Amino acid sequence: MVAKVKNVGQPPLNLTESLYVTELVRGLLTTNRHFWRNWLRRKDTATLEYPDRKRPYSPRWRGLHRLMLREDGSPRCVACMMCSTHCPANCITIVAREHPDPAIEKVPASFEIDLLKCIFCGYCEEACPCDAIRVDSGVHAQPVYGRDEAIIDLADLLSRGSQSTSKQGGRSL
Amino acid sequence: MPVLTIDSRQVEVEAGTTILKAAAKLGIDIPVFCYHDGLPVAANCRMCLVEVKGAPKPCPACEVQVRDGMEVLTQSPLVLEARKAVLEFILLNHPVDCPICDQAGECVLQDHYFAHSAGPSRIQVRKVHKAKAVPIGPNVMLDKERCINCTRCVRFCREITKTSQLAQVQRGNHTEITVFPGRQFDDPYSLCTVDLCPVGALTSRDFRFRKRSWLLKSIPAVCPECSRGCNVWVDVADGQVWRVRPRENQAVNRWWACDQGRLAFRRFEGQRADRALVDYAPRDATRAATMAAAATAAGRLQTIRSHGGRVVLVLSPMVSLEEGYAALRFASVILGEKLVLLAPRPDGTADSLLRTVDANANRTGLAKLAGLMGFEVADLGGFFASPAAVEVAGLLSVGAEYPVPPLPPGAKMSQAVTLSHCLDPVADKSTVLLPIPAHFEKDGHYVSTAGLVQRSHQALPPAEAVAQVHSLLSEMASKMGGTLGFTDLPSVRSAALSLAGTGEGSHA
Ligand code: SF4
Ligand code: SF4
Ligand code: SF4
Ligand code: SF4
Ligand code: FES
Repeated sequence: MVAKVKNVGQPPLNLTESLYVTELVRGLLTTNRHFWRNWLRRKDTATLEYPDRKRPYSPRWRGLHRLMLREDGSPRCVACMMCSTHCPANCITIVAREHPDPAIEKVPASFEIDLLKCIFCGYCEEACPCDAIRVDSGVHAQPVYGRDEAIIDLADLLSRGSQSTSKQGGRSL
Repeated sequence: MPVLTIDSRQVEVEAGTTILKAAAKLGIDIPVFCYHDGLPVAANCRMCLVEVKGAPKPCPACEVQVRDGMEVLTQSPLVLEARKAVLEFILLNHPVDCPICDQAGECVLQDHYFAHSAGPSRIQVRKVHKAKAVPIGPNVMLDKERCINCTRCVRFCREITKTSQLAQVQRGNHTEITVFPGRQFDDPYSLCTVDLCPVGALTSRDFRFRKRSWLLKSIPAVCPECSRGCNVWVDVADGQVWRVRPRENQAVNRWWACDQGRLAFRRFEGQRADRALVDYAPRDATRAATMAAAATAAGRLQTIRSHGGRVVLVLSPMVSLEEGYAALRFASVILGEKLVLLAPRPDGTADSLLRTVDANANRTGLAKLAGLMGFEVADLGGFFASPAAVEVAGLLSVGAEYPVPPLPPGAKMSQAVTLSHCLDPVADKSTVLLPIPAHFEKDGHYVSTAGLVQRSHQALPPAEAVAQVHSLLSEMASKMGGTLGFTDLPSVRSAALSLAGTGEGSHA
């Protein structure tokens, strides 16, 4: 596809414009107009007083990851590595271990996400066959002082977890 | 010879050929579960059904033999319908727990389902559940509900290893694979059933849950555990070996490999020599430090030689032809020796399938190489018991893993320089230890007990401080005022192979 190009030429300055002072005054008038309007009629102000007031996020907004829980509070994740395989940033590191209950069989021994690498694409959530990982926590990644602090672990991921409405193990009867 | 038509293409095959093989000759792929080239035909899965004109029902291609003038259809609506039905039947009670199944990614059931069915399940009743994660033997875990009852594992134990340790019990939905009461599945080839099992019913307890199959890269290598020289795939990821599987070679190991060989890569876990040791003090884990240690070793051997002392080469028959050649060249050019002491690992136990008594990968090749280079070959233990050993002032060992014989009384031994990959009793007796690559970390040729020259490729890069035998010995040679006449691995290889055989697959 050929992009449409619109040439915006620079019009030559006329005499008053080239005097500089008149344009300066005009600019200050604009600034003042906005200043007083915001000051007197605060309703339609374009900016927000962040962080006291926050703009509501879309429910689809992708924030910090969380790991969902089974009924008994243990992680739903079965360490299948679908999310880490799919992750385009390659930032999920999972080590699996054997679960003593053969009906569960496989669980993560450790689950780490490097938030400095994560691009919050949400592919991990889409790849997960168990509704175990989600990026719907609505929590921002926090600034950190060191790289190590940007790696979140199993306990942290589970702390934001909650129960899923889907039955673990799919629709198998 | 019968001529038949498969999907309107004619092919002529030997009488007695099955439809499956005749189709394969035309490049036509017929899906199978229970059929395996190395096992007797059972024809119990019915995945391979094809339509034969004139036959009342679809026929299993793996079993039915060709007839002259036969007309076979492998893509007809009837066949496609039959495949779908067979898959639906097999999946009736299948747990489909692929996320926790180690077979996922290399599962024949997954592949066939995607290729031939891909329909949703219509089952409305509770599935039959069976025992999961049953450790039936030291190396194998059984999941009874994933089993598709193809009996490959049963046939393997019955026909190949002849231990008959696995059996199929119960009937219908409740059919399951089991070991006999109170017995273990401890067949020395038990892990072959894990490869044979088309699904995740049999999994390796060692490999289990360690890595997903699709993350692995497979490199062709040769097993070093005995002199059979079984061909293997080394599966690596993240700079580590995770699993070793047999690689088909009809001339050597067919489709099989023993459990001991497949698990041997774990033998030196935690005791690898990853840096040089001089007088038992570790040097830095850098290449430069290793080369400096080699120079130190060269200086010490030179001192012995300049006082007229004798330095003898000890060669482990576990090393490759390339390493052996470099070592023998060093012994003749720099040490002025015509004697080489072979230091083998103690004998193992042979069996009727693959394992040989000689637990050394390359004894045939190195003994021949040494002979061709004009060396007298003696056994390390025997030599140490002889009076000549008393006069030896230094040893240069290439390779280790051998039992260290006691020194003769009054021995003048002052230096033992060892090039080894592990911290074993040989390393404990060495004044200088130089780290070399372990078996799967190097590219080299080995001669099997049958005299076949085989190449084992490098599966992993070694640690930084680890140096190849030829570069260590070249460095030592130049410090001792000589040259070995080779610079890199290809030149060592061509020199070694021109003596011991012409290359991979040739006979030494
Ligand atoms: S959001 Fe995207 S980048 Fe981040 S962990 Fe998930 S898949 Fe990886
Ligand atoms: S979070 Fe989901 S996709 Fe990732 S390992 Fe766990 S179960 Fe698999
Ligand atoms: S055997 Fe195959 S289809 Fe069955 S659970 Fe394992 S990977 Fe999935
Ligand atoms: S355990 Fe595996 S190889 Fe044995 S019968 Fe079942 S599916 Fe076949
Ligand atoms: S492959 Fe022919 S019946 Fe199983």
